[in-house]
Amino acid sequence: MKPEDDEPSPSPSEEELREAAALAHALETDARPDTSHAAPPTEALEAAALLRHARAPLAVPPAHEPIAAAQATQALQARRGRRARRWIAASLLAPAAAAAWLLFANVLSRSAPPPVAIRPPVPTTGLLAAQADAARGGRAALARLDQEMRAYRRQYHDGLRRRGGGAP
Amino acid sequence: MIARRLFASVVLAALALACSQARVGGETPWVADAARRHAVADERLQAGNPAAAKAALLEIVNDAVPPAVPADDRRGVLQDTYFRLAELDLQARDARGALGSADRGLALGRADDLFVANLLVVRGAAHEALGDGPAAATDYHDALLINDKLLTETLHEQTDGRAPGAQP
Repeated sequence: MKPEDDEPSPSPSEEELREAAALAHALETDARPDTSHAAPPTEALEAAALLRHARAPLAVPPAHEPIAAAQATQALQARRGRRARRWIAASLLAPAAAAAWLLFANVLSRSAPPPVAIRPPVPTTGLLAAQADAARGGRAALARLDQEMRAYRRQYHDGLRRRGGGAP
Repeated sequence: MIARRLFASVVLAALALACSQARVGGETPWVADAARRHAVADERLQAGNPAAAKAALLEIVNDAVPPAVPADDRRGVLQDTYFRLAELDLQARDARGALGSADRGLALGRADDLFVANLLVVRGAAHEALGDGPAAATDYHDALLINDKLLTETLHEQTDGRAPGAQP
């Protein structure tokens, strides 16, 4: 709240009181010219006319109703047409933008250097021992090598996936 | 109304296209698919269904590999899968099938890594099962040579203070 809001407004001057009385008088529809009052100022009459006009409901004379209805229908149809054109334009522009972006992304990925193959992870001594056992023959040793390979395989695939290059 | 529906459907189509082209978090879908299928094979083996496990692994080798996958990544993932397929064939007493899987894996390329050594081991086992001792001995020997190199590398990494299994 501003400090001046707390201060009492100064009492109106005589001229202000006279203008307010004239405005109130002019707003009264039944008011008749009164010789006891002085002639109202022009500003008060204009303000009163504006206020009356604002209070009056918008009314179309019955004779003008068909013309007004036709004009309103035309305006509505034109507005609908504009909206439809906007949607169609958007439906063409959006995929065009998406296609342009895809083209740009494809060109970018093709111009990038090809991904370099990564070396497989270094095997553990346990895995190499299992492989050496299998290389001496025996079905059981081969089955154990297959078991030992599972962890190594996961590690290898994870490495390839983290590197992230290559396949589209 | 029609324009709005058209807009919505075109935007949805564009979004679907953009999402299908997107790479999530730098992950390679082909590697992720292979990892998922290996996990499925593990579960099916755990459930005592090696035939279903083999079917999951066959999906990896039968699927087309995206051309953007580096050759060594492709070789590593596929050779590892052929090793598992050959091992499952041997479990099913299908030595010829195992030999075929191992040969297909080794035809993808050679390197002194765990995947090639595993294929030599499983091919040696297939030769052994088929009664071809010299061929088995040759494969086992070649596998052990790679195994020795990998063991030296692992021990070297350990003396350097890096944990085995870490990505080089």
